[in-house]
Amino acid sequence: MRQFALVLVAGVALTIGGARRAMAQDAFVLVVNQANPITSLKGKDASQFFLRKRTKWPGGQAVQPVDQTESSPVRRKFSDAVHGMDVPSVKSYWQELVFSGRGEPPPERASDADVIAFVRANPNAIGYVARTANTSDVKTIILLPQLH
Amino acid sequence: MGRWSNGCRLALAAVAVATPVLGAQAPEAVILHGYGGWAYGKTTHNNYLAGLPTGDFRHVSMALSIDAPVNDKLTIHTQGEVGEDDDDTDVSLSYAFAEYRVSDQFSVRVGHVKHPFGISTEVFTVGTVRPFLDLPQGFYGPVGFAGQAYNGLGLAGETDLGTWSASYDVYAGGNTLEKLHTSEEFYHGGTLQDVSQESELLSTRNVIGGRVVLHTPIRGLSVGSSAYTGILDEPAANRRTVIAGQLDYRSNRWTVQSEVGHENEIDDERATGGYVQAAFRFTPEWQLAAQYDYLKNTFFGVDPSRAPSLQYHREGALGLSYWVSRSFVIKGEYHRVNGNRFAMPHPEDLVAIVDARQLRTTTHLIQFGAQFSF
Repeated sequence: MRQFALVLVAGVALTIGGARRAMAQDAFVLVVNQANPITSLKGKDASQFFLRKRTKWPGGQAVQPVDQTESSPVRRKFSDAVHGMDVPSVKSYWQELVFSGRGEPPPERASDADVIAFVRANPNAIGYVARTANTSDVKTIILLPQLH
Repeated sequence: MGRWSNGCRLALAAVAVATPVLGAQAPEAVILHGYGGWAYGKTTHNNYLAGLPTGDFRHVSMALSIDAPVNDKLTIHTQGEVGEDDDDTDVSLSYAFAEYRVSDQFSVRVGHVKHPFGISTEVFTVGTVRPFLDLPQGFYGPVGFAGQAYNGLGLAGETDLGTWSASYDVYAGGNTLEKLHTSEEFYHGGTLQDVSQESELLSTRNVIGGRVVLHTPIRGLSVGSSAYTGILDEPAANRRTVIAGQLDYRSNRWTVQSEVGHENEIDDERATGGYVQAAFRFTPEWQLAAQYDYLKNTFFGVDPSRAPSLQYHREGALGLSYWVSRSFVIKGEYHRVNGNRFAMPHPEDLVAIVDARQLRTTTHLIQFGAQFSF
């Protein structure tokens, strides 16, 4: 009986976590330059690009991720859905890398329009914007389901 | 009287050279970061961390780091640091090295490179990445497990192993680390009149070492091991070997870390130390932390019976922090220390205090302070 209850609690927790992540994922879209041939990206790959754990596109070009500012609601949704961490935890991650001389966080832009302008100007860039943003100048790509 | 090493001159020169570059190039061409802090400490007996029995307001530090990406493969990293306490002002070069990134799995680092040892050696003095003002002394104290940097050549990288991933470092060269020699000097019968309260530098040459960290499929959970060996740069030229293990779990609310280390200096000294630390954020701003750490030293060829407590350190601590943001935190904490390996009177007074049987083995410390980074 106790084992059943534990399994039930774990199942409910996972379901709630998955639902929250799916809702967060509905709030934004990933955008790349129109010259980029990529059409979809796994959640883990997207996370690695933005945390600079992977720095090359499959074609060998250097990935140029661009973040939104820490206070941005779309960044909160992106961070929850893709990194599985809140924005302050991601900031702590970068502090450790910066002060150990192991990396720099991506540049930040203050709005969807600024992110789109950055991605449009840089062929190897990747960013994220609110699903409601005008993305006609860039290419949106599909974020494949994430298995945390 | 401040100690101005060649390293400090180099660090200040790097800052001086970089400053006009900052103004002359695009903001992302040369990147400036920094951190610092201040702490007040008061103990019941003995001197420990920022604390003196009379209270001490003088613990301040700051550091500036400059990263200069030359191209998408080559980056130059430098950092200089200034610290001041009750004893003196210390200016040092944290690191200055070039990194050539061949791929995500393989990069070459050469110069004065942060020592990849354990969880926190590379961010030894950065207060905004930990729950307490100081790292656990049983592992990161001036026992000499790890130096802040090595001088030489290293390889580093990270690789995907399916649902797991692994990061590694290997290096060769020399390193310099800080060590508090007071206990050893005392057992050897020194007068300790010339021994500073501050830890002193110990150099090791012909060092080879490495670190491997495995990131598990459980998000935020990693395990790892570090080790190095080298020859002490002193007349006896004893071999010195250090090995350590680490467990690290981090989520949005929880941080749980534990490390254990063992040092062996042939015919001279052995040390085993470690800690367990847990911290919980019950709101985004408020964090509660608890810690237990310990260290046991064995010095060869001495009789420790006169003051056995100079060989060990056992500590429990509780901390409460208010994080204004992840870049600025105010911390208050209580520490209870048993043993005098690190918590002890000023070295000049130690012999007289031991002879008078007035050495107190239990030390209570209250500290508070603020730490920041940008």
